[in-house]
Amino acid sequence: MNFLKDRKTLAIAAVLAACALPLVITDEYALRVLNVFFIYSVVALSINLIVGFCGQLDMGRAAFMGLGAYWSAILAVRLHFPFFVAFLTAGIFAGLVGAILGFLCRKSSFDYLTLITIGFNVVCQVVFLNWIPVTNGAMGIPKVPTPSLFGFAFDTNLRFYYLALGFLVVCYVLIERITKSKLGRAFEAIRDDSIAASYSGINIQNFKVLNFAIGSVFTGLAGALLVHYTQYASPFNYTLDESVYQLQMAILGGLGSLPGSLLGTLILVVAPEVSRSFYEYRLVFVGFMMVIMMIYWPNGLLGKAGVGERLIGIMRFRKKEPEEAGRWTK
Amino acid sequence: MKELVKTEDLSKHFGGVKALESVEISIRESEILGVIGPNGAGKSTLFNVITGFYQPTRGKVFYNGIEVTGHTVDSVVDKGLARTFQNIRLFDQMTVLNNVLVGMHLQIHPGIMETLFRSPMKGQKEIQARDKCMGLLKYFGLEKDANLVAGNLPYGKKRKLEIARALASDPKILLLDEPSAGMNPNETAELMNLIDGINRQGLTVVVIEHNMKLIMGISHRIVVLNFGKKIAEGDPGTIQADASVIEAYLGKEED
Repeated sequence: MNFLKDRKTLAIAAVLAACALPLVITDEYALRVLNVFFIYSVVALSINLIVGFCGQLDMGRAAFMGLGAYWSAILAVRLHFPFFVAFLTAGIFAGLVGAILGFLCRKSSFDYLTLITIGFNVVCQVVFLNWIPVTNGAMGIPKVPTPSLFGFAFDTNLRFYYLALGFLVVCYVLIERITKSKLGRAFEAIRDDSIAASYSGINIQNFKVLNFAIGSVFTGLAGALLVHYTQYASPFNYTLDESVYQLQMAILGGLGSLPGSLLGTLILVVAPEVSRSFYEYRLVFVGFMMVIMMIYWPNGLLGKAGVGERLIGIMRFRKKEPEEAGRWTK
Repeated sequence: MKELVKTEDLSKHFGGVKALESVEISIRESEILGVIGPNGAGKSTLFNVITGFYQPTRGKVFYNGIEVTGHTVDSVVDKGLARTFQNIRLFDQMTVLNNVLVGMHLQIHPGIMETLFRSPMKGQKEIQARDKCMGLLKYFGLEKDANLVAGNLPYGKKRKLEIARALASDPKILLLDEPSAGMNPNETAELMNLIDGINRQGLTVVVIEHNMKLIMGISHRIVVLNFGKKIAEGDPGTIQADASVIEAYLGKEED
């Protein structure tokens, strides 16, 4: 129980530190990067919930971000709905689409699900680009209003910082609760052995659909929040490349590890901003990184038996407890 | 004695292979039923068809007199049936305790509020479930391994964990598919005691086995399958003396 307490204190300390961070970082540009990081973290967490915990390799997450973003943008710009209505319904909308897509491929094996999600991503992008009366085509939807709650507008980077941070904390806590509940155990059971899972009384198809829908709610919400922040919905933000990049955030951090998703996102969001020359080569870099990770550390940085655990293992090995070494080096 | 499971004319064909052909068996309450037969006789297929994993080509399966032919595995399991597998199937990346908790899937019903807003450590139902699972692990001598990753357990403990997980669902009938495979004589003897103990607590057990010492030692009744057909049924003494069983295992003596 001591370990748990430590983790809790650690988490609270991290949140408090994040709250105090704008006192140190006052640069508008840096705040902007952090805001984007918070939102993408939620996307990475949702991917982790679907891919890492349930083993459904979804390569089309950007489509769900786009669905949430366009829904919220259209509601706010065209129909003048207040921010929180547009934002919350965007999550529900993305979740519903996720449920329908999940339902349609509930019987597909994991490989086919991957192909279906890739196809779905491409279809969504084509719709965003060509359904001009609704999505305004390649022009996108400009002038999406900034978020405001109860008359308070989050119209500066600093104000938005706290909204995005709050959003991340709420999503993180909810997803962590889910993964530690009966629901999360069922997801993991399906990932590890679906036959044994069904013999434990788990209705595999229903739980796969549920997992897909829950993940899509979070992706949709993140997409909606991002579009209110950038104030512009562009069809070119929700491509397959983008999906792959988001998937890599979750994989780099470690599938099955929620803090890992944050770390992976931090690296992949901040690195391109640190140097523009890196930005141009980011896909090349990320491609190489994936190859190396998959061969040597398929469990990512913070996943089970991932790089992090191995480093800890090596340090422990050097200090004492030599008999522990076997646990870390297969 | 009450019949918990009954099959009628149960057949399963894979293309031209008749894995099961018109098998009629009954599983009676509180008995230990042994299922034996040479390799490929259809023993595992029988388990798979009874539990709804395969749909039978022909015939019916009844639980407590209610027909369950065509039901999915999870709904058959819900009726009070649990099984283990010939090749161990654990949730390898989950902890030992979580493996058993998954076995309790159908008993834990947290509300959506409890799932999302209360710490799982504080939820009453979760605590009760954990206590029960720890009790089961203790019974199998696995309580010290509760927080280890299941995939890292040694073979014998994996076998035990699989049985513990099956028992976690409070089944009426436990199906064991070659539980002693890969065990040494000591472990097998321990397993026999364990199965006997489980049965004494009122559970019906069906065992597929190749280990004759084990099956003859614990079974109340034995069913013999060969080439998908039931060739004999009776108490261990009768089976050992049955000419067709001896023929199936050893071949026929030529004159």
